Amino acid sequence: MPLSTSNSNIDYRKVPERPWMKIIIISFVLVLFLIIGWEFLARKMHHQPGGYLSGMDAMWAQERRKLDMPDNKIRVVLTGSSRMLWAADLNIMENKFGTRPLQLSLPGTSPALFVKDIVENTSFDGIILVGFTPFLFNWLTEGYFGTDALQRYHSESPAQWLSTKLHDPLAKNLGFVDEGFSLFELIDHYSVLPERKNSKILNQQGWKLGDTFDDRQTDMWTPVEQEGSFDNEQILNFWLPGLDLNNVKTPEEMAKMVEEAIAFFGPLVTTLQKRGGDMVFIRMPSSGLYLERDIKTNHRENLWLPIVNALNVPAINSMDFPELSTDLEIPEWSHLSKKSQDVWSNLITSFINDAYFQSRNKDINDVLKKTKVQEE
Amino acid sequence: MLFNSLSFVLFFTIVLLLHYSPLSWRIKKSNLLIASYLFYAAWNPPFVILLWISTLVDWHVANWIFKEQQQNKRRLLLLLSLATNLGILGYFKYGEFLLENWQWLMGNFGINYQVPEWSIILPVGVSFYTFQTMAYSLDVYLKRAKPAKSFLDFSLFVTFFPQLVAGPIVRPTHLIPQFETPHLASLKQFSWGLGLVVLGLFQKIVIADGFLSPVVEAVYGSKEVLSFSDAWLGTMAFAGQIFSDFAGYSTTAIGISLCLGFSLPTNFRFPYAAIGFSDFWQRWHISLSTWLRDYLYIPLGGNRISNVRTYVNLMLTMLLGGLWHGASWNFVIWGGLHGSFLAIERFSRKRWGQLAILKTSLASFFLMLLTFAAVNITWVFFRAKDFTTSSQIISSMFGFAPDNAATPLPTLYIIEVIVVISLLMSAHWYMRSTTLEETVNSMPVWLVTLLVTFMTFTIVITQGTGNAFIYFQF
Repeated sequence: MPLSTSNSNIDYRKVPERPWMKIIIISFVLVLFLIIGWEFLARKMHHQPGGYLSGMDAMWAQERRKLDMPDNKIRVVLTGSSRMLWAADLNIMENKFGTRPLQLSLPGTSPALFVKDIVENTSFDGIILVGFTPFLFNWLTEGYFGTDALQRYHSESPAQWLSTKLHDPLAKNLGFVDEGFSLFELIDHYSVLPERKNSKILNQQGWKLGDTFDDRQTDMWTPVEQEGSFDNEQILNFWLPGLDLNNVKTPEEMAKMVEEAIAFFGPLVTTLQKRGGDMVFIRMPSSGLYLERDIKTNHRENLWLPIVNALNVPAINSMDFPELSTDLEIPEWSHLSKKSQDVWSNLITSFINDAYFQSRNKDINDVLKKTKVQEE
Repeated sequence: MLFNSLSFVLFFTIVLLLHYSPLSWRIKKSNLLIASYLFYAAWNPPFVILLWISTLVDWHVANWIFKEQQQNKRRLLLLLSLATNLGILGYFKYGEFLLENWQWLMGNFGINYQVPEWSIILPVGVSFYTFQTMAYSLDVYLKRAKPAKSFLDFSLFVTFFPQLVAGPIVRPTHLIPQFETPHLASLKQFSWGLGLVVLGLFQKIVIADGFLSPVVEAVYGSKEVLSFSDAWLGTMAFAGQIFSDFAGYSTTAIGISLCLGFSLPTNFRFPYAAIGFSDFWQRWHISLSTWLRDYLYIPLGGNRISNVRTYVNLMLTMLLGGLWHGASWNFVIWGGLHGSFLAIERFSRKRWGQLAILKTSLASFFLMLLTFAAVNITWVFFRAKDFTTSSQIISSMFGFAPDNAATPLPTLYIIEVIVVISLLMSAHWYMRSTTLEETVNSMPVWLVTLLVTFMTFTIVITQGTGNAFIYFQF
């Protein structure tokens, strides 16, 4: 009996009789020319090389793992939503603090779970800067992107790790590798068709807001910085559905949010302080309808102050200082332009130092410069 | 490791370099085996142990079965192989499902049974490789085949990376003999293999993920009751998506194997041009349908016993075929619907099959459309996350949507679905009685070049987010 069924012949695949070498070579050359043309188009449309490294969750996980390294020298961690991501220039802050901050902010996500993770699962004893975005801060769960980020951090497969390592050199040299320049993103955002009632409007789903570089340094995308531009309008249209000023939180709802935030963050502040670290809360700047909503709900008095007072943490409300808010460019109401990012990063460090001293009666550098040698 | 990922590009390049370097055939096979284990471990390293268990048990069991003369002992040995493979499948795939249903059943008797906290990760491809190795033991037991001479060849058969995680489910008699002698692709085979890889990735990345997945998400992710048009468009989009995704995987797997010099069987033969459900199952996931036919339907008696028994066998085979796809009552319903449609078709053919009007081209075309519509009904249960969603969508598809039903699909998505599905069905209808190879053979060279260029370029600029293939979850 052969190793076979009743049919002992294997049916090998036929190959079409075509001049395959010629086809492959010509196709390869044509594809190369097309890709070169596509790359030119990408750069003309402001999709620059280096502007989008591996996906958000992969980059977040990579940064988070730095805290697990035994001899890491991280003394400042930035947490919060996208406002902290777009507001912080890591080079300027490194210059001012004397140590490079670790950027762990995540768009559409409260810092809550990530602050909890740092306090409970690491030995970090430096300063956590907690970016406070009104209302988003109080969504004390994974938010829009937290689940994927945490999953990637906890269970990145070897294949995913390798793909990231291969992707990033391509992204650093090719503009079209930017996710915002993929074919179907372009089709969605540039199609203008009559829309059906109640259907998703594709070119109002947001698109590209920033470029993300090494260490998750994030800058506003140039076309969005121009108020009134197509790309700026797309971002504004994306915010609008969530900014119904006729449907805002009531004082009672905000009081409940205060209680929940205090119950959540209180123990974390205590634990971090016990091992020599601390938190500084920063209400991030906003403008336009976002600011209108915050004023209408009396956010400062109803949410911000009760929380920071109860937690007894050093706190800076950017909206209390024109140089940190109204003097700056916030082209789409929520995030700082590149130029204003530099200004804010330069100024905020002084405000942090002052707020810390006023609250703790000691120099923040005592915490920032503490090292294992000093501990021993 | 996904075919549509940069890590696979690097992996495959290294595999090719080793395969075409001047090494002995034994070393090349060893390289392929190690590469296959690395390929699988790239998802989750510990699960390679399951491959080892399957390999070791079935290798020994088949050899013992072959040497054993006593039928009772042969049967016991076969049961050992089946128990091991089905045990792996049962634990990882159906464990939680069985416990939840046990809890529900006990609840009906007033017993409060608490399901233990149990987070079982489903090993990728477990349904595929367990069926593949069971086929080996079964073929040896049924005396259709002798055991493989070489443990290396058998190990490679179990783990051969192109088809390891999502098929085609290959018979041992098809693949193991190919490992026995040196196999390297000729330039023609290698080129055609690359062409198939491009076609497969185009189907997955551009058609399934690019065009159709957002449409399916918009419809099946909606929490509202949908309109008639949106329900149908979303379901047809899913029909296109699951075909392009799964056939894309198979085509890529076949292309990769061909680049290495090996031939895998065709797994799809233009299924949306099927006329009737029995025709559909000769065109869709052919490796699974033939496996179920050879190892389940025929051993149950097939159509040899009685009419009633034939219908029972059909239904049982399709119900288990549905369950193979996943631990959910939705999949059982999907299988049950296919079984019902097969039974209805069998009855109808006997009754009216000889009518002259049914043999005309127009009738064939109409029956093809009817089959496609019926297949779409079944897809609702395959895709919907729960029975409530599937009921609502079915209800909308049959015209019972309220006046204020949701219309989540933007105009662009509607255009995309109509164009893509029309082109897909036209292509299937045009090629239903031929093969891809014959079609390409008859195309002008400039057209083949243009298509390869177009597909390659659109794959590159679509980029994709490295979405897993749908059938990885089975």
